[in-house]
Amino acid sequence: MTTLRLWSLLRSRSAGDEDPRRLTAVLAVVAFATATAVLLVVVAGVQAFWDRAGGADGIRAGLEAPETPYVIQYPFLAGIAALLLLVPLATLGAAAARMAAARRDARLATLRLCGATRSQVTGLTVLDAASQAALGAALGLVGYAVLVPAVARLRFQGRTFDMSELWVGVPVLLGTVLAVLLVAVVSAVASLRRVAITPLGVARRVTPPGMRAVRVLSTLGGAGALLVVPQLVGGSAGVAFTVLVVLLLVTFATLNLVGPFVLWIVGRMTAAAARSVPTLLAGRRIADSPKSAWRSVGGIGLAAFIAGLTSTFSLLDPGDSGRADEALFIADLKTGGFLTLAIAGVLAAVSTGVMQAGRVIEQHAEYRALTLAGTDSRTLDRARMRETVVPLAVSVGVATVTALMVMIPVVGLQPVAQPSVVVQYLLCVVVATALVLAGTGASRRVARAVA
Amino acid sequence: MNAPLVAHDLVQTYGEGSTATHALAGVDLTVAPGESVAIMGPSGSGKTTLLHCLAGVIRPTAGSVTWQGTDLATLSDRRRTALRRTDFGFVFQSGQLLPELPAVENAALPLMLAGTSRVEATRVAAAWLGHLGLAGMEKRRPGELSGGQAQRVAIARALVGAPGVVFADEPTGALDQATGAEVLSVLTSATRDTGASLVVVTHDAGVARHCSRTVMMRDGRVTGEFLAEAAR
Repeated sequence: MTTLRLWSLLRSRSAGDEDPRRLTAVLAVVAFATATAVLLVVVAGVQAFWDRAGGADGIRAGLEAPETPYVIQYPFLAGIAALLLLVPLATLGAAAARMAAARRDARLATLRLCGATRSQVTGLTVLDAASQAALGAALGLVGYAVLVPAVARLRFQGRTFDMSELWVGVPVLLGTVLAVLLVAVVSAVASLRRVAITPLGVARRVTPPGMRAVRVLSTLGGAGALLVVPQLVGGSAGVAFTVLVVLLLVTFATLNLVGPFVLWIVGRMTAAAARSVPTLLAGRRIADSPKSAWRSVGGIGLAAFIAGLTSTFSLLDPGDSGRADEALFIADLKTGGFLTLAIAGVLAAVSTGVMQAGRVIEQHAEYRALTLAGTDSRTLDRARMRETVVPLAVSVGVATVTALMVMIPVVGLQPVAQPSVVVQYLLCVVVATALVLAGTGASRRVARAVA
Repeated sequence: MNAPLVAHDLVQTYGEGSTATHALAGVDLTVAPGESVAIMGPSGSGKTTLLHCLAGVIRPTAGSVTWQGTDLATLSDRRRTALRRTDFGFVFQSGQLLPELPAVENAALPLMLAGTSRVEATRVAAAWLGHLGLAGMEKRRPGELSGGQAQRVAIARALVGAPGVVFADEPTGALDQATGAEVLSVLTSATRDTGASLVVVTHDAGVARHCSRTVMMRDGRVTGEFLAEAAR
């Protein structure tokens, strides 16, 4: 029997509503749909500013002008915002793919026992993930259509968007669907690589190896780059933009290197110092899998980083500007910053909720046994909450330090220490954190369903 | 802990009308302190449902389960949860150990949940692991233990809180015959040593032979019971 036929047979014999596998499928599809819709809206925004700037020719002419007009800066800033959002988007896509691959271990082991080959098992996983990604992407297209009228009401450059400005075109739609499918398939295959599915079951969960010190060295390198690269800013707008992009890429890489390492240490310390079961469970889980703990809050780390950068916008007052176009640009800069932050916060919340739900579903047998043996649901809820709060605090801390490292060499210490900047930063972090905690709270329903 | 666990005229019905299924159809059972009872019967005979009723996991449709003079059905879900934590211990077929915790912390969980300090809980748990032949394996994860060793950790966890009754649902179902017999021997002797009662659901006559009494079930009813040779 071909893998496709086997997959189609298994799908047609799918279990009932109460099966957690169905729940995982729904969550995966929702996550894929959110990622697709947000990605399309972000691309639509970049494209709209690109067109308003006159396309490639208009931008080239603007860059060659003695003074770069503000209209030329919009597509670059939108591009930077899109770049910033790419990480939480990819995280959400990967979370969805992992969800699609969750809870299939026993089934795959049974298939191996019945004679299915390793490649057939991989094929089944890929088909499952791809089918859910395809459905999610299709729903994401609908979500994009629903969001566009709301986005069109936003005022930039003194006017709202025409609907036609936010239409990305068929090639972009297809490209986005393909990108979502690709993320799903790659993540599903990667998640299979970490377990050995044999006919006798699934082997894993031995004492994990520690994080390697090379992360510290790489992080120090990244930190050095963060201090040096801003000094290179100067010259044309094109050079400044390139330096900015490099700076952001270095920042992302540094955040992702140092984040899991710090979490590994904090997780071990938390477990060692734990006095209660929820803290012990949270600490062990974080130390057990610091990369996945980081992934579940990495989006919020990025949101905190964006909040750090945009908090200095509070020092800018459009009323101080003598020029109308400059005043408009400053006002739009603030709106764009907040918009980017809001999207990053929502994406981070959805990612965290989906990842936590996936974890609950993967461990549903243990949850059920603990519940039967008298562990009240509040203890398990507290463990999951702490499993989010600890990495959350670490990610916000790491992101704050990184944002300061990026900003201080450029703008100096004084603007960063202004009360209005600090207050705005804290407010943004509190709101983003609340969103993520709400995402974790939402996964309670899943825990109740499977326990 | 000297009062028996008493089930009286237990009825458990799933569904309604023509689709109603009677998992239990009037079961009476008394488990004396320190007694070990095997509940045997074919699949679908109501063994696990009876165990869940006895342990307060589910409320029966009719009838009562009395433990220490209290009808479990009168307790709120929260009180029954607390009771399962403090008065009962559980051993299942599989999937009961938390994969991220080392053996000693898995075994210490009930004590910590009941408010015992971590240091004391792990000390008691480590002593139990040693008593059950797992000395030196305290820091191993479930993934680094054999099936039999994992079940011993589960037995340590069930007994660490000095429960009045230990409930075991097919505790050797996932083990080979030799390991199963070994685990069962550990379970019955350790339970006997603590003075706790033991209720084992099984379809394996070999398992039942380790218990002082065997109750036979079919179609939700008790169809017979007999004492083990040694208990006569």
